[in-house]
Formats: sequence, structure tokens, C-alpha cells
Amino acid sequence: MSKEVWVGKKDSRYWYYKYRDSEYFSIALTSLTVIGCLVLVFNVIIPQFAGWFSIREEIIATRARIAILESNINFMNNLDRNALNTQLDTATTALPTEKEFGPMLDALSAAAVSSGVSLNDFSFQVGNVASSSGQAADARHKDVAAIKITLVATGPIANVKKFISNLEKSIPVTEVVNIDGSNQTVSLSIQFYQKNVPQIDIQADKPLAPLSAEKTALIQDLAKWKRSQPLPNLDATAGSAGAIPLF
Amino acid sequence: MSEGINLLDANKKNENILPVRRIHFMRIMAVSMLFVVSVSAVIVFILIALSPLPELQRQEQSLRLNLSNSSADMAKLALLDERTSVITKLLSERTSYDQTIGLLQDTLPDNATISSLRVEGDILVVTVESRSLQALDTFLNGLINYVQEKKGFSQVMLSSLSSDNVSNDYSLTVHLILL
Repeated sequence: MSKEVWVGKKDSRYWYYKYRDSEYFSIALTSLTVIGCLVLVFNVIIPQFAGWFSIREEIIATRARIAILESNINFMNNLDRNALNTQLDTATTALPTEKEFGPMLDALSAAAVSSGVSLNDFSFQVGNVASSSGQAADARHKDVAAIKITLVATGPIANVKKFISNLEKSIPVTEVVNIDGSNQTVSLSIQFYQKNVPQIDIQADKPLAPLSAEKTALIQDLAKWKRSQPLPNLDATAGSAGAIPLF
Repeated sequence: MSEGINLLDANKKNENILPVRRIHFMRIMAVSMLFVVSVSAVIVFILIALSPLPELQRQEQSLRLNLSNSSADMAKLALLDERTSVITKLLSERTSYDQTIGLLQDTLPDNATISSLRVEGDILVVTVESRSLQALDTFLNGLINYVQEKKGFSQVMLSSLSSDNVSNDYSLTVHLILL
């Protein structure tokens, strides 16, 4: 019986009462507290503070995004949508998103009429009509497809010069790349340009800005060229000059 | 015997492993650390709980939704910007041959005519005919002046000068390198 009592005294209560008033107990308790505190500091408090700092940074970033969004909403609310549509119409007429031969022929015809040259044979070099590959691309402009038209203009050199000048001030945008002529007959190679609609990635939290002054001036010039271009009433389609009473 | 019996061992040393003052200091330090950790935990909890981030995120979502109504116009604006950039580039890199022809006409005397003109890239070949050698000389000097003034052409090269005995015309062919 005495043995059982003795064994019972050796449990945790026994050790507690044995060392409760000794310096070992005090040292152990203090050490455990310090270690526990250090564990809490390094595993909980510091990560929590770091988390709070990242929350603070996120708050600053979110506030900046909100400011941009509000500014964009304000910008869009004040945007003249009619003007935007007109400007876009002018720009896409100047640089079409698809191969449109009607406006090209209109531009050529109008330039010929106003300069006094007569246009005879012409031919298109358009490459693959269905896809963007295989187009007669200009090496200078990688993303822009070029449609080359070779035509024969008849008239004095002054008129041919005026024809070129008129073409340069007409839309769609053109470029005369070759001239070869003699005796009032000039063969001209003219490039029209076309560019597909790009992948537009709208990011609402990027500040929207109106068109720059240079670009606005360009649009105004293009609109002027468009207005000054007398559009002949031609029912023209792409093909051979012999089949179409162009000029 | 008057001294009696001392049951305690008078020579037994009081062997503390640490002095009492040091233990006391350790206790104060432990309690302080506990206090600091507790206060820090409460502060962090309050800071995180009172953070305006969720409200700001809700506001941002609401504004994005509002702006998404104008996404079509934003796309138009982006397309317009892209078109004008490309057009500006095309126009800036375009060679104005009408100005080049204008320069030739300006220096061409009345009694001379351009009989042939060929432009390919930056090379222009022009043939001028006249009954007067003086007129051709004037034309050639005009071109040389352009080159010297760096106006339109960077180089001029006389290719041929011939005469036609039947028509009594002189023919001058010149190669010009455009600027």
C-alpha cells in the first residue's frame, strides 16, 4: 500500500509541489514565457505586421486606380461621341481596315479629273485578298499591307505633277513609288495602304487621354482632304480597266 | 550542552544556481515581453480589422462596372489613336515626288522640255531636250545648285548628252539621287 502511495506522489503534481518554491521552477517558467513570446513575435506578430504593410500598399495602389477610374469615367462622360465617330470614320477611310477598292478608284479618278490627266491602263497587285499573308507589303511598314496599282497617265508633266499632288492630298493614304514616263505618257506605281483592326486591349485602370494636338491636326487635314475630294459617281469594282469606264 | 542540539546543519551552504535579483529581472523581462506581444497582437488586429481595403475594393469594382458601359467608345478611341499613329508614320516616310518634279520644272528653261522621267526609289533619271545647248547648261547648273544647297537632291550625274541631226535637238540625260 505504501508503494502505491509513493508512486502516486511522483506524478506532475508531485513535481510541481516539489519544485514550486525552488529557483528551478521560476527559471523554467520565465524561460518558457520568453521562448513563447519570441515564437509569437517571429511567427505571428512580424508576419501580421508585414501583412498590414502590404495591405497599406494595396490601399495606396487601389486609391490610385480608383482615381484613374474616376478620371476615365469623367473623361468618357465628357467625350463627344459624334466627333469621335466622325474622326474614326475619317481615319478608317484614310487607312482602311479591309481592302476596299472603291475608295481607291474614287481617289484616283478624282485626282485625275482635278488635274486634267487621263488614265489609261491600270492593274492591281493586291496579293492574297482573303488573308493578310502574301500581301504586297512594303518593307518599311511591317504591319501595314500595301496594295500596288500601276496605271498609265497621259498628260503634260505639269498635270502629272498635279495628279501626284492631288493623290497625296486624298484619302485613302497613297504613295507614288515609281514614275516612268516619256512623251506625255507616264506609268505610275501607286501604293494604297490597309491595316487590319489590331487586338485592342482595353485596360480600364490606365488613364485615357484625348488625341494629341498633332493627331487632331492630322485628322482635320484628312477630313479636309476627304471633303475636297470630288467623288465621281462611279459604280466601280476591282478588275480590268477595259471593263470599267473609269476615266 | 547548554548550546542545545542544532538539528539543522549550520555549515550547509545556500547554493542558489542564480541570484535572486537576476531571477527577479528575468521575471520582469518575461512579463514585459508578454505585455508587448499582447499589445502588438491587439494593435495589428485592430489595424487589419479597421483597414479600408475591402470598401475600396468594392468601390473599384463598382467604378469598373460603370466604366465597362463605355468600353465600345474606349475601343473606338484606342483604334483612332492607333490609326492616326500609323497614318502619321506613313505620311512622314512618304516621298513627295510632286515636289521633286516641281524642282525640275523650276530649273527647266522655257526652250527645253522633259522628254522622259523615271523615278525608282531614290534615283531619278530625267532626259531633257532642247534645241539650245545653253538651255541644257542652265538646267544642269540649276540641278548642281540644288545639290549644293542640299535641296531635293544629294547627287547629280550626267549620263549622256547627245544630239539628233534630223531634229537638231540636243538631249541631256541626268541621274539624280534624291535626298
